[in-house]
Amino acid sequence: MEMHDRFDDCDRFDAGLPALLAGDLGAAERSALAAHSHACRRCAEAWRLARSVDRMVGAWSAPDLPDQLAAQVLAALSAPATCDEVAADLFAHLSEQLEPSRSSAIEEHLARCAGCATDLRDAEALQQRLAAWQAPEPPHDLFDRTLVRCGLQRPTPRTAFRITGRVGWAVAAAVLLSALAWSLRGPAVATAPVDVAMRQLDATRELRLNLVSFERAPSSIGSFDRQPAIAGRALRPTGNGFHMALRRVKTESRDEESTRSR
Amino acid sequence: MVEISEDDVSRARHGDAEAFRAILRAFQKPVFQTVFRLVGGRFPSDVEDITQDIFVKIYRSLPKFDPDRGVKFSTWIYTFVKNHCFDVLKKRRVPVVSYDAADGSSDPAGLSLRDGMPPPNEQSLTGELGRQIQDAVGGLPYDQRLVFVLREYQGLDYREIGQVVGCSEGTVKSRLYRAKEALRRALRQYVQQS
Repeated sequence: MEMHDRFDDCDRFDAGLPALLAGDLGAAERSALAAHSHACRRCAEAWRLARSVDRMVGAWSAPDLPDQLAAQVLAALSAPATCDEVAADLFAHLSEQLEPSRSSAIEEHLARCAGCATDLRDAEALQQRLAAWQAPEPPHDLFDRTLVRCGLQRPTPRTAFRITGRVGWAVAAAVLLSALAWSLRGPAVATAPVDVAMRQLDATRELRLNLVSFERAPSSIGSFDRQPAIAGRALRPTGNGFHMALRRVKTESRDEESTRSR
Repeated sequence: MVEISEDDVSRARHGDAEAFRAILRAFQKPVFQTVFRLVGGRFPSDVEDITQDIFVKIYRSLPKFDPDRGVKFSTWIYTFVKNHCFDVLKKRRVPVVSYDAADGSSDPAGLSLRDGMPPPNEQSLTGELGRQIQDAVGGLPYDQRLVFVLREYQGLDYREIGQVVGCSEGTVKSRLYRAKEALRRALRQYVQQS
C-alpha cells in the first residue's frame, strides 16, 4: 500500500493523529498525513485543534510546593495538645493506640493541666472497673440443652423438663386443672383423693413422655427426626398424647363411678 | 479472641454434628456473656434462652457461611448475636435507637441514677458498683453498647466490629468514644468513691 493510501480517508487520519503529535511517525508518513489534511477541510481542522490542545497541555505545570508547607505540617504534628484534644484522645491514649508523637503531646499537656490529669485518673479508674465487671459463667447444662434445641441430641428426662420450662409447667398445670374440673363436674363420687391425685399424676407423666419422646437416635445433622416444636419454646402438646391422657382419666373416673354406683 | 479451626467450620457447614459441637463448645461462653452484657441488665432470666435461640439460628445458617467473603467465622457468629439481641429488644419495646443529639453529643439522661437511689456515699460499694456498671452499660444506646461490649470484653478490633455492626471503622471509634464518655459521666462518683 502506498504511504498516502494509509491516510487517504478520515478514519485512518484520525487513527494516525496521536502518533503524529507524539512524533512517532516517519517522514513519509508525516507527508502523507499532511497531504490528506490539505485535501480535507475536516481533517485539517482536527489537526489544528489537536495541536492547540497539545500545546496547552504541554504548557500546564503544577505549582511548586511552598517552602513553608513542610514546616507547617511538622509544626502541627508537634503542637501542644489542647484540653479538648486530650479529652477526645484520652481513652485511646490509655489503650496505647495513638502515635508516639501524639501520645507525647498529650503527656506534656497532662503534666501542666490539673483538670485533664484528674480526667485521666478517672478514666484509668473507670477502665479498671469496667475490665473487672464479670459476666457469669453459662450454666453447666446449657451445652446439652442447646444441642437438644438444635435436634442433635436426645434429651434426658431432666433436660427435657428444663427445656419445656415455663411452658411445660403451664401445660402440666392445665392438665391437672382439666382433670380436676372434669372430676368435679359429675355427681359426687366416693373416690379417694389419693386415687384421683394418682390418676392425675399418671396423666401428667404420660403427657410429659409424649411431649419429649423421640423415635430415632441422631446419626448426623439432617437425619435426626427433629421436632423443634416439641423441644423448643413454641411448645404445643402433641395432639394425640394430650387427648389420650385426658380420655384415660375420664374413662377411669367413669368406670370407677359406675362400679361404686352398683 | 475465640478461635475455631477452619476444618471444623468446613465440616459443620456440610452437616457434621461433631464439628458443630466443637463450634458450640468454643463459642458458648463468649456468646452467653455477650448476651448477658447486652440485654442481661433488663432480662436476666432470658439470657439462657436467648443464647440457645442464637445457636439454633447459627446452626440452621451454617451452610450459608462463605469463608471466601473475607469475614472471619467469629465475626459472623457475633452478627447473629447483634441481630437477635436487637430483635429481642424491639419485640419487648425497649428503645434501641441511638439517643445522640443533633450536635453529635450523646444524651446521658438514660445513665442517671434511678429515682430514689441513695447517693453512693450511703451505699456499700461492694457488689453495688458491679450492678451500677451493668445498669450504666444497659442504659447506653444499643449501637454504642454493642460496640463497647465487643471491643472491651470480646477483644474484636475496629475492622471486625465494623463488619459485625455494618459501619466504618471511624464510626466504630466514634461510638466507642461516646460510650466511654457516657459511662465516665455516669459512673464518676462511684469510681471516685472507690
